[in-house]
Amino acid sequence: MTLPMQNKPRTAHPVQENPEPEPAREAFLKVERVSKSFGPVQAVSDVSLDIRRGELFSLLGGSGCGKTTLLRMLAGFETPSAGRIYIDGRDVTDVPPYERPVNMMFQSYALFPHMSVEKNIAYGLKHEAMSRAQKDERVRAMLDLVQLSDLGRRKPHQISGGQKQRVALARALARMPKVLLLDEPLGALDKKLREQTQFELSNIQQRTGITFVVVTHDQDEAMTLSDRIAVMRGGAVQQIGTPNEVYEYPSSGFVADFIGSINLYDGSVVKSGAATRVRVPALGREVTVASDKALETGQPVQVAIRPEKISIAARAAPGAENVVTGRIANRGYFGKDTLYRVRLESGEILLASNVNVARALGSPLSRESEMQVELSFAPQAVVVLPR
Amino acid sequence: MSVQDIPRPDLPRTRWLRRWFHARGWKALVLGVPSLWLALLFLAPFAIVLAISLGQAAPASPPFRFLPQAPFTDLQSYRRLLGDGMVVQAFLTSVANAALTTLICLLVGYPVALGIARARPRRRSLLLVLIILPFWTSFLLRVYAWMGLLGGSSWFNKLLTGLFNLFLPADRALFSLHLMNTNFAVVLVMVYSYLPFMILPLFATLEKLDLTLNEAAMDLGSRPFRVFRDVTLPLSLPGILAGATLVFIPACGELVIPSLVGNSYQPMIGRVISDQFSVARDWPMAAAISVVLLAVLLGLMGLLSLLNRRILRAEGEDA
Amino acid sequence: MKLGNGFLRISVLCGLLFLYLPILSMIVFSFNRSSLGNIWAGFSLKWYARLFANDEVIAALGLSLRIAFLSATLATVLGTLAALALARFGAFRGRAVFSGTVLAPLVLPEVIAGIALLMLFILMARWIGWPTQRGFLTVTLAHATYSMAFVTTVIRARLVAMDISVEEAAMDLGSTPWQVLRDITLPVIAPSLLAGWLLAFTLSLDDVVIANFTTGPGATTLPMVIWSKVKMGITPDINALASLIIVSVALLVLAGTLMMGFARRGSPD
Repeated sequence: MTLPMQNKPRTAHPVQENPEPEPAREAFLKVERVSKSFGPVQAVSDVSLDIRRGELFSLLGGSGCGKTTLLRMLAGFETPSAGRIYIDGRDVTDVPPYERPVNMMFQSYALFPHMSVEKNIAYGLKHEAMSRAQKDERVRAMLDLVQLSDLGRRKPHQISGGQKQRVALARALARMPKVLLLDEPLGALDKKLREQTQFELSNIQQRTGITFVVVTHDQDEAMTLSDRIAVMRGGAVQQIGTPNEVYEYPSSGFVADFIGSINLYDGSVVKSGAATRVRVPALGREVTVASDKALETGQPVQVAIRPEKISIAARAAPGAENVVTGRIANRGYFGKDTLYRVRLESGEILLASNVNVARALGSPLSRESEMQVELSFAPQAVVVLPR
Repeated sequence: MSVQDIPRPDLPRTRWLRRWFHARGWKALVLGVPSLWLALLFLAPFAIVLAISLGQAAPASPPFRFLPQAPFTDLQSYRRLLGDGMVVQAFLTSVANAALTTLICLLVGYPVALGIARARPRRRSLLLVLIILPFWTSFLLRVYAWMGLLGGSSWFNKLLTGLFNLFLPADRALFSLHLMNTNFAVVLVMVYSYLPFMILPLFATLEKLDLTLNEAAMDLGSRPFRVFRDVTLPLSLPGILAGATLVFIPACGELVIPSLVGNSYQPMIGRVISDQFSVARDWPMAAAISVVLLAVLLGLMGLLSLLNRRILRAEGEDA
Repeated sequence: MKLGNGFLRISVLCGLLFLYLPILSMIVFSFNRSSLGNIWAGFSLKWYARLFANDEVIAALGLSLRIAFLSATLATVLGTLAALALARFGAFRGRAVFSGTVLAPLVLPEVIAGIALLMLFILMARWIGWPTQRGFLTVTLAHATYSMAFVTTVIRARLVAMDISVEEAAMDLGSTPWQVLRDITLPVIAPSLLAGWLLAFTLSLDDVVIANFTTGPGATTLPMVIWSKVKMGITPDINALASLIIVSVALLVLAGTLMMGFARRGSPD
């Protein structure tokens, strides 16, 4: 077995009240102030990233956010209009794709239709100084790694979509690149297969220890796969952090809204300091928040509260903080939880979800329409964002 | 169409003909008319050619007859054909010229087709129109245009002579190149006339190729030429085959070009058929050569389509 | 993919130069004062003037246009029927033979087609007394038969590419197969009918080999006139005639292409 397998301890992300930057490690893949424009269109503007060795890093964003252009610049298919790219300390900005220690798994897989699965996987080894036996050995190891040992002689059109995806992965890994780029790696798979493949992918990443950079528009995929995520919008990076950080401590309304669902309202600071109070017209009251940010009285802000952090009941528990009332407009039953859309007195909609802990028919809140409910949330549940 | 026209189950019985036509009769018509036409004006003539090829030349009108007793047919034209050095030579010249033409068309046409396929979309359609345009204008006149260039006193000939003389010692410099009425001229003008037939199918194949395959090959360490050799070239084989078919087959039977710019001592087979028929008035011989030429061309087409199907199957497309 | 682009660009340029240089040279020399075809002796329009005074050329042009019009129309009708049968009738009995026969002229050497048809016409005249003489009618029949294969190819491609669910929708709404053909299919493929007709028209207008064999005394098409003249070598009046024909056809094709382009841009898809 010539595969350099290593067991990388998966970084655990304990829930932190105050996210502190992890101790700075040497960046393995360094993107330094990179911009790219196509004519008048600015696809990527002034992006800097430090990706660590062995990390699974995701570029997350909607279509047209520049994530694919950035990935193509890492692969060498596009040249940055400005900025530099370093891999393992070497400046590769002007190195052509065929000389970069980087391989890519294409969204469409781009398997060569006229070559067998084996030949596809072996293709990148043509240019390596290896003996025939070594190459055969490597191809076999790759087929084993992606569990396709029996299908080596098949042509791409003779295997299923999920198998094609794994051949594409094996082909890109065969050269043992320093960095593997994955463009929407699970995008073409159906939902069931996607969930299963997700774990396989991170498993393979841990076994090979290769640095993965994944481009995806799917926040669930990014959350489950990644060590860290860069959320992109309009060609710029909005926030970089662990899945936990970007979910619980979004840096902007956009990130908060893009990852998961969230209630986002405008407000202004009434009282700063230990028990900060923010006046939120949509909620029809002042809200007590626990914010570490230095806020000034009168400062306009946004408050963001995740639906699962809001308790919903006919009557709020005694002593509950931040209580607002409203009427249930719709219910969405998802099995594991139920999402309520509640119309507040201000006319605004508030989302609140309840995990269905008990196995029961019917919801704890009766199906009577327009039922009056009380909602409450802890000061720690509120994210205060600058406006 | 008004509502009353819609056929209903309770149509009066008198309209059965119309109903039959609406449902089935038109099918018989659609298939029947062209079938009848082709039987009369395409299959019948070929049956006649085949029949005459088995007869004997005779000083009659029309100038042939069949053997008066069984088996009525005679293979003497085919025997004469094989024994006639000129006819065999003409077959070989035709195949050689057609093969050379196909090869040059491929070598010249491939980069052109690739260049058009990789051009920006707006420019691409302009270039395509420019390639197709000569095809719409008169074939005969385009051949004629070359006659003007090949002649000894033309500027083109003088230009070529000048270039040629650069490589010759001054005392042996040529006054003009002998281009007109040569086999070289035949191949050159055939390349010129058939080039669009090579470029268009090549373009159609190259345009459809997925460029991410090229990127994948490059990503896996191949330099641009290697990418071309490993990905673009093998995947464009169906286009190469289609183009080769469209050039080689008509080039084999070409009559106009060798008649105008070729010479009489190296005739191509089309010229021989025409001469046997019109000049020698040996109908059985002309028919026999036609039958052999058709058999050769059909065999070749069969071979090429077999090859094509194999290539397509290897790539998993429906042949 | 920037590498190699320079080579490709130069190839395309050279290819176009190769295709157009002889034509351009011929057009230039059609304005040559000298009667020696390819030695320049100053500008003149006299060959054009002489051309329009040539009754033989004018008459041949008229005959060619009539033959081309009629044969293209026949070929389009026949080709449409054949294309419908090939694209919509599924696997009917004898399909392989039918398809082979329809498409065979695409690869058939013109010499053989010409001789075969001439033999047919001569024998028919002997056996059933028709055609009494060869000329307009026989050439038209021959051209229609030969062009039909090209028309079939063009229309069939369109029929195959057409969205069949439109026809199914019409049938679902109560149309009989014939009504579907008349109300839906034919209007949708109309542009390819026109393209097929134009192709057949050009092929007929251009043909010299088949016409040479299937015509008779007194009916000389324009390509035959040109043929008999160019066999003698290049002459300035043919330069002028050729320039006129090529330029007018090129302009027509360009106009047609532009119109099609505009029509396509105008449609919402």
